[in-house]
Amino acid sequence: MTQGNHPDDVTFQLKLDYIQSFVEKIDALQVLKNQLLDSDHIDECLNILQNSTHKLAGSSGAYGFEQISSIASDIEYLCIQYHSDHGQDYHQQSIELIQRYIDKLIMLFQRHVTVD
Amino acid sequence: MYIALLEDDPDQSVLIQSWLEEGGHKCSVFSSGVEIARAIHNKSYDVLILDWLVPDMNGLEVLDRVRENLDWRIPILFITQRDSEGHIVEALQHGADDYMSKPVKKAEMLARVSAVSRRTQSNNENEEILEFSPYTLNLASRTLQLAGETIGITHKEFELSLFFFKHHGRVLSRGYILETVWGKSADLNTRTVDTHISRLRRKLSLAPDNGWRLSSIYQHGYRLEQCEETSPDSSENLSSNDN
Repeated sequence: MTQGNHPDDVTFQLKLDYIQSFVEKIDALQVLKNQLLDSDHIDECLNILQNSTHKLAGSSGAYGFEQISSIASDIEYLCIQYHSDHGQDYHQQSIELIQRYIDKLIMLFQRHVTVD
Repeated sequence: MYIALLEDDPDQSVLIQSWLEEGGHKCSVFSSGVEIARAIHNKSYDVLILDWLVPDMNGLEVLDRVRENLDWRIPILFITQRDSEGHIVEALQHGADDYMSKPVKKAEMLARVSAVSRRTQSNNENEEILEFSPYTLNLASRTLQLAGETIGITHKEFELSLFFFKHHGRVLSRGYILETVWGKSADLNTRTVDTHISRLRRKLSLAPDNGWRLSSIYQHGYRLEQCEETSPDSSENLSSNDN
């Protein structure tokens, strides 16, 4: 913490920085959503998505974005569930469900980018 | 307190670090298990906060290493996945002192850090007389006795003695001693610590004959150890006092 800064200022600034990273996070989610169409690399793609949403669930919740945290956590759960239900096989319906959740998450991020 | 945080997500680590600093603590962030495991051996931390999922060695492996290799029971707070009962049970069984579920919250984190630290500290916080036989430390008069005889020591030497006795068995780095006993803004170098410790050793006769040994840990710091019954001709005991 920089000397002289009020603690609330520091937290506020960190939250602004976090919101600024939403555009980048939306882009990354879009890329992952499109990669889910590639049945040859589904396992790898789901692993990356699971890891990303794990971090998003933790960080967004800590910064006070409860809804984002909740949806990110749902996607992480869906990825884990996919692995246990289908292994490395491609299951169209499950992938579409995950994609719909990604859309929801992107929409929430976009809302904050616009409003804040 | 000096806290080591294992968290590989910069979005979260920067926020947690700011919370801890705001709460009056100092915090070093590590993004990999190997990194923090190495650091624990080179620096003295008061509390560890470990995330479960990190690259290379995971939080649980770090926990195991710490409990196996560290010579004192450092308080460890674990951060687990939301609703992950299995992880919580496993972490506690492996020696974690407490856990928090993600997403972490500021007030809860600061409260839990204080609680784990308080729980693992000695129970003598409120006592005025501390006995580390044959030494007696009187906190009210700031005096120290060896077998009933008062030893003439300065206020700073008393603080240093108290610090060592309270943390006996634990390796303490020179930087940590300097920061804790002399204060965070002390404009001094670690040579000051060496000079004071050398004097303290002499004044208190900290030697196996009195049941205690203040050992130098090469390139790191010092450790006050309680000795077992030793034979007077033990060469190890003589060399340990070399600085």
